[in-house]
Amino acid sequence: MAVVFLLIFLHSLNILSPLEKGLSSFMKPVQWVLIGASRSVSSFFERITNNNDLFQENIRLNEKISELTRENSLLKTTLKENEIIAPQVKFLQEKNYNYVMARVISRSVDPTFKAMTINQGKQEGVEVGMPVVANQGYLVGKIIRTESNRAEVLLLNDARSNTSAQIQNESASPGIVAGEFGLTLKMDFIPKDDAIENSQSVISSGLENYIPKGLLLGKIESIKTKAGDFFQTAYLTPFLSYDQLEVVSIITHY
Amino acid sequence: MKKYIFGFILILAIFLLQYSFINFSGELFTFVNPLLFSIIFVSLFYSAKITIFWVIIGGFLLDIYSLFNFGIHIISLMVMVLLVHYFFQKFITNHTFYSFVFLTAASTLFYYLLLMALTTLLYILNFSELTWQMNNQLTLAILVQILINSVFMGLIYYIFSSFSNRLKANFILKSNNK
Repeated sequence: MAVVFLLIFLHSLNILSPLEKGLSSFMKPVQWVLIGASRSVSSFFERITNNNDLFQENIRLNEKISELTRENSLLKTTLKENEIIAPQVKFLQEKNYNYVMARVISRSVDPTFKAMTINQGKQEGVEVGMPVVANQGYLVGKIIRTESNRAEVLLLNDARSNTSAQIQNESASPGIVAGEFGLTLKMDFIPKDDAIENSQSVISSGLENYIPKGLLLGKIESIKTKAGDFFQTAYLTPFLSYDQLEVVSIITHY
Repeated sequence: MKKYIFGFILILAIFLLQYSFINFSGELFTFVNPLLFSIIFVSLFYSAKITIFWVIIGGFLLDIYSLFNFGIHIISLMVMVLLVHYFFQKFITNHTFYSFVFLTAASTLFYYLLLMALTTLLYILNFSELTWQMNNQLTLAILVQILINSVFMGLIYYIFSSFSNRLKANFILKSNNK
């Protein structure tokens, strides 16, 4: 137990910092390779659950494809990354935002959080509160902690995440988007008299520091109104699955 | 020394496998926690020295990446193995299949209860802005994890008992040999 408290004490004095940095720098490339491999496992199981026949067919086709593409696998990887990165870069450049691109290197070690670790940190200008976007400007979370060479992103579907948002309707109805049981998004505090409908998009309101207006959060899936309440609640579907994120961008200035 | 170097590499490999591979491999795999399982395994099958080494290295890695205060994971793991050790010494006299399965289930439960208690305490005392939030999905994940860990420990017990004398009751073997 004495060793444990000594470690905590040394950590609080930042004496362990070089060791922590060294370990995470050493693990970063391995983590990235492992995440890439896990995508194959993930899609493998998705195919099993979707359709067994299609899965069999896919195995045969995939074997054929992998034979043909073995020689240029490196090129294929680069192309895949470009496919993910291109729409992100296009969006960020069109909007003229300053940004830092980052790779997802791990999931949160605390099971109670819907969070992920990215491979960019303080050294690249990443700060707590900055928005993290993917694809064509879809807001996926906010930076919750930074270290010199990595940062933790709290995803929008975490119950502790709160984002000031507005609905793309005539009255630009405001509200707060938070995670619901780590599964879906819930927009609360929408004025009761505002007319809102399913399929309307929800965007960031621009009222928070660091977060520009207009980043897409999700689409309204259902609306809940209680008699006597001053507000109504909308349940949203995110535009993309947070589990499949590989490359994201942090907006550092707008 | 070799034992510890090998242990360090193994812990690092299990950590990377869990948080950069298994947790990205689909919802099914979120119920698996090989790092916690391996620490429980070491605490039941190996010496106190090796167990403490695993707890410190494993807990240190978890704390580096944790969103909670540094030390939460090491303390939870350390208290968990101390409790397991206490149960093992005081109440479980026979190294039976059921005792190993029971201790595995209890350890997994202890670990999560300790994590919850410590994070909540730090939140109440204003040492942390983040608290543990329980929901149905997480409760289910912990219960399934207790089940999976217990089943795996049962399997390992059978494998170990057929290859090693470590789990056999010595006094019975000696009296049979006479």
